[in-house]
Amino acid sequence: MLYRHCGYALVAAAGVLLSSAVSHAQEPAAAASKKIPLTAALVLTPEFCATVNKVGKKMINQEKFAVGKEACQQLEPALAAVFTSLTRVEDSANTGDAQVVLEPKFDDVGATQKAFAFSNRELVLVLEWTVRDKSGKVIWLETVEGSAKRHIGNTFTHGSNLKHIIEDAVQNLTEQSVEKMASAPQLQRFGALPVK
Amino acid sequence: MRKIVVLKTTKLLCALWLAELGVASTHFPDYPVQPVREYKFKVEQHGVIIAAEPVDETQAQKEYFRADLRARGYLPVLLVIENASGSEEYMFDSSAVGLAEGFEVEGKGARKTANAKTSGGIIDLTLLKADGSIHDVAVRENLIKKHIRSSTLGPGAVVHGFVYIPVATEGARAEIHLQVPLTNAKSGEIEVFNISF
Repeated sequence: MLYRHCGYALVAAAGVLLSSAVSHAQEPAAAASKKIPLTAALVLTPEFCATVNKVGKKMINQEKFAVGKEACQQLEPALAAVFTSLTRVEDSANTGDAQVVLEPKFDDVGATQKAFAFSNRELVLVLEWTVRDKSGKVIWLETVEGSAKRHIGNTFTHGSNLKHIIEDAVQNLTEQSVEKMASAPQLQRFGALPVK
Repeated sequence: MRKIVVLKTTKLLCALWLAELGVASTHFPDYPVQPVREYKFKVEQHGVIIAAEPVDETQAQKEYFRADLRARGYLPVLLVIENASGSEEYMFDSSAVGLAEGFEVEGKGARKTANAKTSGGIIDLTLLKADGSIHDVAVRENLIKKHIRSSTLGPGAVVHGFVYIPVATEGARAEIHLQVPLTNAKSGEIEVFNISF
């Protein structure tokens, strides 16, 4: 009886710890710090969201990494924690009254190919950020790199591992983007300027 | 009989392990970077110093890039940019780096290289496709990882990385005249740095 109660207590404690860890992981790094007092427009074009990196030879060992789709899911909620207001748009010509326009561009992506199911391989993503003011002048330019490592997997696990390596690499890329943007003195200064 | 099976299995596992080591041994060391003033080819304007170091030696290319890049029609050039100005900020756009004088690349593999050039005449890695082999994919990834990145350079900031210049695969290398534009973050003025080597 005592053992059963101990078991329940352990399971409950593990659950609390796990949920706490998950909620911390999902909390954007910038949330704790002060938001930059700017209205921002995040330009996620259909082309950007459709970015797919192909690695390997067609019909033989080619793999497709749909990194654009994942980035378009993760970037908006994460960057909303950096600025006082963030709007997602599909076209840089339709940014409304936004004070700054955030434009991401995949520089290039690559995935290490490994020969065996038990090999760890790495997916590296490079994203270039251009932040412009209303007049179109570039006020911040930065490149961030995100990566993730995972087993290539076998016939049964390959699809799932592929999905997870993309999710993890994009998450890392998003965290790096949030960190760099939130700490950019150029953006902080621009946010402190009186609104015209 | 059982001994033979165990022996064969052990041999197979050893072979797999060695093959895996072979794949994993495609390790690319970081290229050493010195303080910007210590380079032979450098230029200084408005408190910004830009240095270039072409990696001409085949041995060095094989050590840091695991490939004879000259034979593929391009030369890796390390760029080190330091904003030594006390107060100015500069924006460096890696896609704006180009050659002052474009030239046609000749020799084996020239067509592949010619098809992968930016408007500034240097190699665009996104256009440079690997042939699909494990080694070639790894070489291409390493080129991408070592590529210089766009960045905003505050006072004292340093950025470094490689650009890849198309060159003839044979014969003496012609002099390269590289142009590196930087935008002053405050005034919006573009400063062009010319560096030859």
